[in-house]
Amino acid sequence: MKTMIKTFFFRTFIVSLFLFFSSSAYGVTDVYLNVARKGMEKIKIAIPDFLPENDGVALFPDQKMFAKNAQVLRNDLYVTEYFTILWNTKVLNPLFASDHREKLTHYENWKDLGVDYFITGTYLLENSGKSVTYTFKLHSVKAKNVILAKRYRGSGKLLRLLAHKFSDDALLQLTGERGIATTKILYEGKEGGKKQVFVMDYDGYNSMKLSREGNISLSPSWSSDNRTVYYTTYRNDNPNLLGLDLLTGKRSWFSTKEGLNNALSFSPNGLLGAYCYAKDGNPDLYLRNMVSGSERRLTFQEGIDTSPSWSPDGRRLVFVSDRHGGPQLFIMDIETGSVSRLTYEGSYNVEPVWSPDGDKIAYTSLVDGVNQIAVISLSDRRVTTLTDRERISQSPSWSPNGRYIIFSSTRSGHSELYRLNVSTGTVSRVTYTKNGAFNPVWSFFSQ
Amino acid sequence: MKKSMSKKIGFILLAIGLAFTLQSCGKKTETNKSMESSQQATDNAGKGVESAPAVTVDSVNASLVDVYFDFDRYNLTASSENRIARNAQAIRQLPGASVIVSGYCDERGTTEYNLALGAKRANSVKNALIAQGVPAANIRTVSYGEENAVCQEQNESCYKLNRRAHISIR
Repeated sequence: MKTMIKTFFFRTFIVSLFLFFSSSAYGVTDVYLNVARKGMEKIKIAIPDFLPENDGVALFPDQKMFAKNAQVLRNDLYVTEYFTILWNTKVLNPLFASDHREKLTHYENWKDLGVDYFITGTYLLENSGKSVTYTFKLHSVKAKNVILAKRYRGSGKLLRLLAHKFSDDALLQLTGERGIATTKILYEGKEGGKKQVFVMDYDGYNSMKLSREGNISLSPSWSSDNRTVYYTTYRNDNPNLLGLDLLTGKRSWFSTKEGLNNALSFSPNGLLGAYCYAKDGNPDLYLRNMVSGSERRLTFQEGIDTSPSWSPDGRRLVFVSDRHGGPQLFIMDIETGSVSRLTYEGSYNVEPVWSPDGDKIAYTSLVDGVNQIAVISLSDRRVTTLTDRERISQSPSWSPNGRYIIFSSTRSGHSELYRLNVSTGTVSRVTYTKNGAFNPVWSFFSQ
Repeated sequence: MKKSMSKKIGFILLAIGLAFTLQSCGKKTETNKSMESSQQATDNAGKGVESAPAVTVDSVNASLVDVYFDFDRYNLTASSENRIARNAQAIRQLPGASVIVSGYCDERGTTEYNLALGAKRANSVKNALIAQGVPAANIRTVSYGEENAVCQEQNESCYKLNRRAHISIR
C-alpha cells in the first residue's frame, strides 16, 4: 500500500514537472506588443468558462471542474498585472456558447465588450474523465482571428497545470515575457513543531510534503534542472544534506560529514554545488564538482561563512560572512578566489539571492530591529528596501523571470508566504497554512 | 443503577491501587536514600575524605546547565564561563562519557544564518570544555539553529532562554 502511494505520488509529480503533454500550435500570427516597454496600459481580455468539445459527453456528469478551470487562466494573467480581466462569466459564457454551437466566432460581439483579446477553451474527456485534452485559442478582436492555438493533453489530476501552460503561452505571445505559471516553490512548513520540506505550485495550490525522515528537515534548494530537491535533515543528531530525485523518488545523501551540512546552491549549469559545511564547528563554504565528486574549500576565515548564491553567469558567488563583525554580504570570484564586501548599510544582512538578470541581489536586512526584504543594485550599490512593515519580512527568492520575489512575512500574525511584483510593488499572499510557512525557494524555468 | 454502582467500585479499586503504588514508590526512594547515606558514612569513616552520592549519566545530566549568549554572538561571557566550569567539573566525574553540545538561537534572524550561529555557539562551549579538561575526542557538537526552541513567546525574556548551548552526556 505504502509503495503504491509512493509510486502514485511521484508519477503525479513527474507528470507535472516533466511535460507529458502533446501540444500543437496552428494559425499563429506574430503579434508582439511588449507592454512592459510601452508603458502600463493594460490589455483587456476575456476568458469565458471552458466548454465540452461535443455534446455527447453526458457520460461524465460532473464537468464543472473542467469548465471552471478557466479561473486558473484568469488568475495567472491577473497576477502579471499586464491585463484587465473581464470577470463576469454571466456575460461571457453565453457569447462563447453560441459561437461554439454555430461553429462561428462573432468577433463583433466580443468587440462590443470592449476587449482586445479573448481566450476560449474546449475540452475532450477520455478514460472516464481521467484524461483530458484541452484546445485553447487566443483570439484577437482587432485581427478578427485566432492568433495562438494549442492543444494540451494530461491526466485529470493536472487540470490546473494544463491551464497554467496556456497562460504562459498567451503571456509570451502578447507581452514577450516568459511566464512563471508552471513553476514550483519549495518551502518549510511545520508538523508537530518540526520543520518539514514542502513543494507547491507558484500560486500556492497542490502543496505536498517531500521530507519524510521524521526529524527536522529544512533549508531546501533545487538542482538546476528542477529534478532534484536538496535539504538539510537530521540523522543521529547531525544535520546532513539529502537529495530527493523527483523523477525516481530515490533519496541519497549529498553530505553526511560530522558537523553542519547546509545551504546548498547549484551553479546554473548544474556542475558545481556550493554549500556550507562546519568542519570543527566553523561554518565555511565548500565547492563540490558534481561530475568528479571532488571538493575544495572556498573560505578560510575564523567565523561564519554561509548562504552562497550563484551569479547567472556561474562565475561568482554572493554569500554571508561575519568576518568584519555582524553578518554582511560578500562576493567571491570563483576562479580567482578574490572576495569583496558588498553591503555596508545595516548590522545584519543575510540570505542573499542573485537576480536572474544578474544586476542586483535581494536579501534580508535588519531595519529598525525588524527584518525586511532589501535589494542592492550591483552597478551603483544603491540599496532599496522593498517591504516596509512593522512585521518581519525575510527569506527572499526570485521568480526565474525576475519579475517577482517570494518571501515569508508575519504580517498576518504568523509566518506565511507572499509574492511581490518587483516592478509594481504589489504584494499578494500565497499560502494559508495552519502552522506557518517559511523559507520559500522558487524553482528554475521548467525545461 | 447497577451500572453506576459497579463504576463506583471500579473507581475505588483504582484509587486504592494508585495509593498503593505511590506508597511503594515512596518506600523505595527512602531505602535508596538511607543506603546512600550509610554508604557515604562508611566511606567518610574509612578514608577520611569527602565523598558524593554515586555518579551516574543521569545524575550528571541533571546537574548540567545551559550556557547563554547575547543576540547574534557566539563568544562566552564571564557568567557563561562560570557555568562551563561547573559543567566541566560534573562531566569530569565520568571520564569516557561522550558529550554532546547543541547550539540554539532565538527565532529572530533566519534559518541558515542561525544554523551557522548555533554551530559556532556549540563550538565555543566545546573549546571551553576542552580547556577545562574534558577530552576533545569525547565532545561532539550539533547545531539546531532556531529549531527546538525551549521558549515559544515573542519577547526578549523568551529569546534569551533560546540563545543557548545545551550540554548532555551519554
